Amino acid sequence: MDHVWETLTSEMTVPQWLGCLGYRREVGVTFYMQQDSAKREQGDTTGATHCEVVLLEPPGRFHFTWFVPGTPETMVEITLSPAGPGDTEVTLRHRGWDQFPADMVKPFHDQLKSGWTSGVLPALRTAAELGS
Amino acid sequence: MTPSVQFAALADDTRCALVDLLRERPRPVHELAAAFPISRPAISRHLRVLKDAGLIEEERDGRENVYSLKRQRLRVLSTWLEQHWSNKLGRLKDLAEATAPKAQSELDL
Repeated sequence: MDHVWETLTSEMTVPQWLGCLGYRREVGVTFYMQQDSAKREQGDTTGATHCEVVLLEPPGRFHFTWFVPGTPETMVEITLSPAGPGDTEVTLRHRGWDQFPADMVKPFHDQLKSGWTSGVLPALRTAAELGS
Repeated sequence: MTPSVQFAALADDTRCALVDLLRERPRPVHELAAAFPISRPAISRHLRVLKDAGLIEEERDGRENVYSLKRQRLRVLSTWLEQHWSNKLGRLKDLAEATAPKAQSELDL
């Protein structure tokens, strides 16, 4: 699980799996999830979602805020838990949607009920859900 | 593609209410304006934000503009987040597996 924690939070790997700029493994750091790869290569944060590291608690809790500038901050909470020898379960919860007008959250509610789980794989199982 | 423009467009009570009204049926601008206590120019500004975000469209019907909701755009937005995190977690998984230290039994000689 320590290896997964490292992959989840190290400054070398986070830019690779999150697609972000400016990440440092430190509470209070702001980083930018820039989905446009050309802009990312140039270090351009325009159009990126802003994130702030809120919690780094080894071996398994990594939380950061997630927001489009000018809109309420939501919270992404990633938890690692041991799930048998060599297995780690990764859970991602994205919450804070109740701060938005109810009409905007409505479309997400169908997703909330069904949740989401990826396929079960030998080395790493993942599950994600959107929460209010 | 992050739908941050659509996101910002919808994170506003008036604009969400406008979307709600248009969800029921297309409506002319005077009808939309009548539904809110704010000024007509303010309503027009909100409508322009929604139009620029690709969420509504307008058509001239006789002498006035009629607005309608682009439902497909809203549906795409609602599934975007789920796919977004699904994609990220998949990359995390691939990265962790690609760099995983060898199992202990493989190291014992």
